[in-house]
Amino acid sequence: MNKGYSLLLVGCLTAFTASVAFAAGESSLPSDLQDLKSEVLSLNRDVTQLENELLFPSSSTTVLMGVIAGSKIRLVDVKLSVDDQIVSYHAYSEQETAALGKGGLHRLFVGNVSSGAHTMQAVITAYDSAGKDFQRTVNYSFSKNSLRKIVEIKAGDDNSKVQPALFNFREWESKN
Amino acid sequence: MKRIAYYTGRWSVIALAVAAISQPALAVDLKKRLDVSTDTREPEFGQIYYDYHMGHHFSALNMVIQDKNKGLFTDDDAETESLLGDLYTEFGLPREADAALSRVQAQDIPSSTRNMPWLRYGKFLYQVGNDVATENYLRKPPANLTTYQESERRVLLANVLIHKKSYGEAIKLLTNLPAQGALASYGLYNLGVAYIQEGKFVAGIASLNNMIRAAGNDNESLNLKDKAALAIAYQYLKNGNYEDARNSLLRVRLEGPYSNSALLTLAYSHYLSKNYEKALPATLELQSRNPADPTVQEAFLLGARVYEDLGAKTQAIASYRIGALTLREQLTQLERTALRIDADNWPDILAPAQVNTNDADPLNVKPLPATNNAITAGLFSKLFASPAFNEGFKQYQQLDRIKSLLDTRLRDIAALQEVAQTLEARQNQIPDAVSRLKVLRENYVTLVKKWQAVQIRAKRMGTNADAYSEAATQAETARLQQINKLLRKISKLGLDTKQEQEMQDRLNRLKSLTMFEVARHAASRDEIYEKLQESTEQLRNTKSRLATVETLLADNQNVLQRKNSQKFPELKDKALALQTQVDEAKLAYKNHLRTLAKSLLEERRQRLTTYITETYLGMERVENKPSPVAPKVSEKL
Repeated sequence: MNKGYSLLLVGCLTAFTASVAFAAGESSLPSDLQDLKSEVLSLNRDVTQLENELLFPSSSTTVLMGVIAGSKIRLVDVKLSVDDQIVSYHAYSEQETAALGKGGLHRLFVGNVSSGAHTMQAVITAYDSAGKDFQRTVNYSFSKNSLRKIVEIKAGDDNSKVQPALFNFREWESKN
Repeated sequence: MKRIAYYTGRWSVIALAVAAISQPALAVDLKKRLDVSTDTREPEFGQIYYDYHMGHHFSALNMVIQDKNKGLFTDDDAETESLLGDLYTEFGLPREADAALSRVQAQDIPSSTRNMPWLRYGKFLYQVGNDVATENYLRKPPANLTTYQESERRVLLANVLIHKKSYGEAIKLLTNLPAQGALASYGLYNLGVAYIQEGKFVAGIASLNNMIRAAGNDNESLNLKDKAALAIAYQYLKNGNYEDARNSLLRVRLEGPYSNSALLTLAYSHYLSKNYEKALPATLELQSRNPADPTVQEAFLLGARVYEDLGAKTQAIASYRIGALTLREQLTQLERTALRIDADNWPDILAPAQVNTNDADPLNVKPLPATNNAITAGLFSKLFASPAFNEGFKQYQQLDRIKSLLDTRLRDIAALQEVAQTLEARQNQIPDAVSRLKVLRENYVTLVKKWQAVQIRAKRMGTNADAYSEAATQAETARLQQINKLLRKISKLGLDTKQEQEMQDRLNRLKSLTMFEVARHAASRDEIYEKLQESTEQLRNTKSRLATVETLLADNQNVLQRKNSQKFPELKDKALALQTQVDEAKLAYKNHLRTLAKSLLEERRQRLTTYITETYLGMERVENKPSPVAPKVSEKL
């Protein structure tokens, strides 16, 4: 009887002494699992490469959405049209807003756009630095050639407080 | 041709004006072209960063590898290499992580960038339980670790030293730890543990008390405070100091992960000092809690024993009976759980992954499984507290997601193979397309030459009215031709010089009038400007389209040369083989986790069986001995 009770105390004490803030594992990762993971990574790389080669040739167009680091703007959603045709719509979750705030760029659109002059329109709903919601339509024209095109829309605070936010566009072109 | 001639004529008048007007437009265009960067590393890294912060770490890892393959990032890009090392570490590829981090170490980069992944790799070694490697790694820190990083290094290294019972060195590392917040609390807690393990109880208890005083009020700190208070109480109990043990236990929160243990220890502290009545409130409180917890099960036995020692025979028998019933029910539950462990969906049911969400990323495995009944019931809480089970479960979840990824990739391979075959079926069309493109290119060159000629003529028109003749109508052209014919015939008429001059002047006036008429109905200045602008734009677009077609053709030729469709069967075989390997590894981990769970269940089963036996023996003892005598303290311990 008493042995049973004392067992508990001994058990509790053992648990206490064994517990440390960062508990270490008892078994190490088998090396073949590492090989397996490497193989998976290599297969994924090959398939993605082929996917890019076949579906998105070197002349694809990408539109990215970003927020200037440190800005208090919170995006709600963005509707993107290219040449008056809606090509993308995205509503931003809290986690996505945080990722944008940390310098991440969200791919709004990836596709093949014919070469020549194009117009882009983004209808953006967001909360400004004061927490007030607003909607703005921004237009941009760009010229597509044989190279891969990247267009970035970046939202930032308007320090002059004339507008709820400022939206800047940037372009990149590359062969790959 | 006539139409072209007509328009060409119209363009001519204000060619120079157009050239002047179009200067600002060209300047804007040039500025825009100069603003277009060709270094795409920034947007690429932005996308990787987005995936990284979204928890799509596998996707981020894949993108970094892709971009490195494309030559976008090199081994010299410290930021990328640092991230790559971090992601490899997280994916459980220490060899690759080590290589990437070694490259970062060699770079001349800010120490904050270099040291973060270094520490992360150390944590990884620690988490997989490789104590020797962890110790060797953490003993050689890079220069300029931040205060926080240095504290983390020391806490990790001290833990390894505590594992190998090098308490003295662990104490040295943890004393005066330059940390704040949660890390300082962990440091003080582990310092207390190290002191106690080395037999320095006073210093150990002092360190734990310091930790309780200094820690914050967030959930993690409160849990750690409870743990430290409980540890102090155990130490006092071990030394027979019940009063101080109770005082320490009163600091543990009533609702928290350590409350059950604290309540049971409190009850024992009273019971062992023969304050039987005082042991009852804590015992009865425990009895109202979840009986799956071993401390609650123990409380049923202790409560009955307290009544027995108090001489309350009826209450003691009733308590033993209630205890026996509850514990038997728990034993039945345990058997049911044992059957569930053998089911196919175990351990998946412990943390079901959501479909089509962020959960699908193989690296988005949460450190703790989602809350569910089995865990909250306390049965598996001990399992999840064990690093072996936790790490094993993490690997199992990761393998499960890798399997889903391979399923998706197999579907992708089938779809891409179709695309590749469709492209390759167009192989015969390519030579024809190439020759057509060549003709188009030649046409374009001819057009450009014509356009240049028009430009030159337009410049000339600014000074020569004859150039307008091309804008003349058919009748006007005929009239001009007639006038020219007449002009040539004047000399053959045999007129004297004066008459001849007079005749020539009249015909020239007529010609000028006709030319004026032509110029009058010629296109307006704005019309000519528009047409010129239009044709310039059209030529530019044509050039751009031709370049795009050439690129597409080159893309197609490249794709054909690579014979992609032949690669897919190999990729498919590889994916299928990997699927089999993943299934095997998953099964191995499943069995490993089952063994761990079953060994816990066996331990619980044995304990419950002992407790149930104790209840029956207690009932019999109480019935046979009407006036029980409380056991001595020495007997109990």
